Amino acid sequence: IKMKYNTFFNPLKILSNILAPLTIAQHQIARLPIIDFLEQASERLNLSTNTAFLAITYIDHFFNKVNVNENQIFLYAAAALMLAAKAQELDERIPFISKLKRYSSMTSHPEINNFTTQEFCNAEKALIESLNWKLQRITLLDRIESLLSFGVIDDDDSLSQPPQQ
Amino acid sequence: MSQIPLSKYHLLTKIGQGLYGDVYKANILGTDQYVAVKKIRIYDVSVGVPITALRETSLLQRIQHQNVVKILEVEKIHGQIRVVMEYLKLDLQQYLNENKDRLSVELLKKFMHDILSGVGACHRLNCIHRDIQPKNILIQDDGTLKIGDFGSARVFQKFPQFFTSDVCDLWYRAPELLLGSNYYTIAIDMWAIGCVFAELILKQPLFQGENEIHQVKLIIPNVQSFQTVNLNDPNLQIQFNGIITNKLQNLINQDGLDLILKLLKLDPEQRISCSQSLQHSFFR
Repeated sequence: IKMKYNTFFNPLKILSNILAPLTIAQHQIARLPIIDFLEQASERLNLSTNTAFLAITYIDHFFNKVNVNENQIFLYAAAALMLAAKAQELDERIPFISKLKRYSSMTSHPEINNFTTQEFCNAEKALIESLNWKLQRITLLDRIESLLSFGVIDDDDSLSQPPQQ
Repeated sequence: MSQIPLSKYHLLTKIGQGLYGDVYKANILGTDQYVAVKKIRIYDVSVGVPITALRETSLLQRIQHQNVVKILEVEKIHGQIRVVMEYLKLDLQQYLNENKDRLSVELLKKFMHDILSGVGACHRLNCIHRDIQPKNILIQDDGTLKIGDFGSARVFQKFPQFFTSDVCDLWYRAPELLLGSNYYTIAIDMWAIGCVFAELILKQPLFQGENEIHQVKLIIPNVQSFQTVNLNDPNLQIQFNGIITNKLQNLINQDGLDLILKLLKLDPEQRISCSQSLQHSFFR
């Protein structure tokens, strides 16, 4: 479809992203449990919703590119959350590995506590590498926020009238 | 296991210490081309990859501009991360120390144009540099200036946004930061650029405070209490303009002085932006 006005992004593409299959195609990993986990962990860690969305973006990208051992899926998800926090949270809010381990195991995935600090470090490095260091990414939430910040003025709105003398 | 990759670069001498590791001059093996290699040192395993390294690298990859230092690649050798950047041997601070003569108006225009274009490119991508000072402005052999050291830089989504106020070198720190504001904008970079401009003319830093309080007093001499300072008080601005005019009057033309005064507005909302500055009559 050709649209009447140019926009910064294509709504059809966004729609098809929303309707994307619930598994990450490349390696048949179910997305929903990961998203649930990221949501719980970011809440525990007091991180913003934007950060959780950014982490989801990283993870989608990563799992589509790299094949990981099934029992390490949530290790990578937690590392992605830390990375997303590093990319956009205030310094004092960024959870480092010990805090990340403690809080992200207070979710439905207590086994995360068993990974070593070094394993977290390696997971983080692998993520950074596969993202090619491009950590600033636009998430679905960013798009929604920018849409919400737009306004519409009708012809007969008082705002569109010239100010009265 | 495949063969362990060997570095394409041969490290020569250590040329500096960055926020997150040492910087080396290196040459590309088999050529006589030089590059700068930053070794990212992981000081604390529990922190993982340092935040400053992540920010600098991810931002520099997005900002491709002739007045911003270029990142060539990120290399991983034996688990160690190395950021390879273009090598520039001189920075503006060294340049000012080595050249005792006054800069010509033509050179001032060129330098300021380069600085404003580089910082402007970073502002267009919603990024505040937060550490503009002569040490972080590099000079290429042909005289082009390039903004470097993005270790303090960060991206903002909406502004003013809440950030830490402990940024910028003291002498280049904007008044709103000195007064402890956590909500600030790209205008803090504009203040720093104003200070650098004045420094190019004076051949020494404009305000050399010994500590934060002293720094505020240099900008606002008869400050009573820090809580009650109102940066958009017109009288304060007039008084401040007097200080600047006194210092620079005979050293720069009227247009140049006017641009400095617009960069050094006490009230961040009134401060001129990079794109507006580049339109200023000083550059005509």
